[in-house]
Amino acid sequence: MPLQLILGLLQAAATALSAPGISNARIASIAQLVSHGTTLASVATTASTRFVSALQDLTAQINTMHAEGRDDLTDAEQAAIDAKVEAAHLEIATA
Amino acid sequence: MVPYRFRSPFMPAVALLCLLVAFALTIPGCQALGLSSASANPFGACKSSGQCYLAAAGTYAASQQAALTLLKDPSTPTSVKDGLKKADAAAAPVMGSLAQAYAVYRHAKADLAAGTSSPEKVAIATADLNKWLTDAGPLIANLSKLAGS
Repeated sequence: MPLQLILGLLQAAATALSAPGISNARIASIAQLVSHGTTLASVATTASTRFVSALQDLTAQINTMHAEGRDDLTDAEQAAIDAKVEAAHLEIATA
Repeated sequence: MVPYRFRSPFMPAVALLCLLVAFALTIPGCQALGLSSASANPFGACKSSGQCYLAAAGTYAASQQAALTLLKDPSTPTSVKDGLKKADAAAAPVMGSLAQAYAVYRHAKADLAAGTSSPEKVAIATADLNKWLTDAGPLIANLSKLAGS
């Protein structure tokens, strides 16, 4: 998982920094590790933020259905969500 | 209004989904279980089979989009990408069966309302939908955990 990897990278960086006689090459290597970890954290945060936002929209949609007294989706509504899932599956498989 | 409301048979499956996804996302839990409420809690909001199907399929779709964000980023490690692909590949057939079961359930209810079906047929469709909701729970939670946390 990204966060575990990031923690691992940061831990590796901290261990390396605590070692005596750090060379410039080693410092550059550590900087690269931390930079990579920061990039990963940014991507993971973006994905997570969008994910929570999508869940909020979904919850609001369900609450609206409930308020309207609608228990079930229409044919078109189910077709839309099923098509979205299928399209994403194909995209993931070929990514 | 359909004369039969088959809410209670779904509650074990919905409760399971609720728990699994709540644990996976570490978001506040589910209203149905009295844990808490949150604006990002579709399983806590759903009160009928159709709404719970939307919660399941919608959460899965959101997880897929989060997975795609990670998959498209070149800095994401190959091991993470492989895990996401495997999680989606494992869930896809079950989500397909769940979609089919929900369509059958909807049509069985409509037929019953039209007087062209029986409560027994709706009960069978309900049990089938319940099974697929239960089966889908861990798979949705797994992809959510990998992609959304």
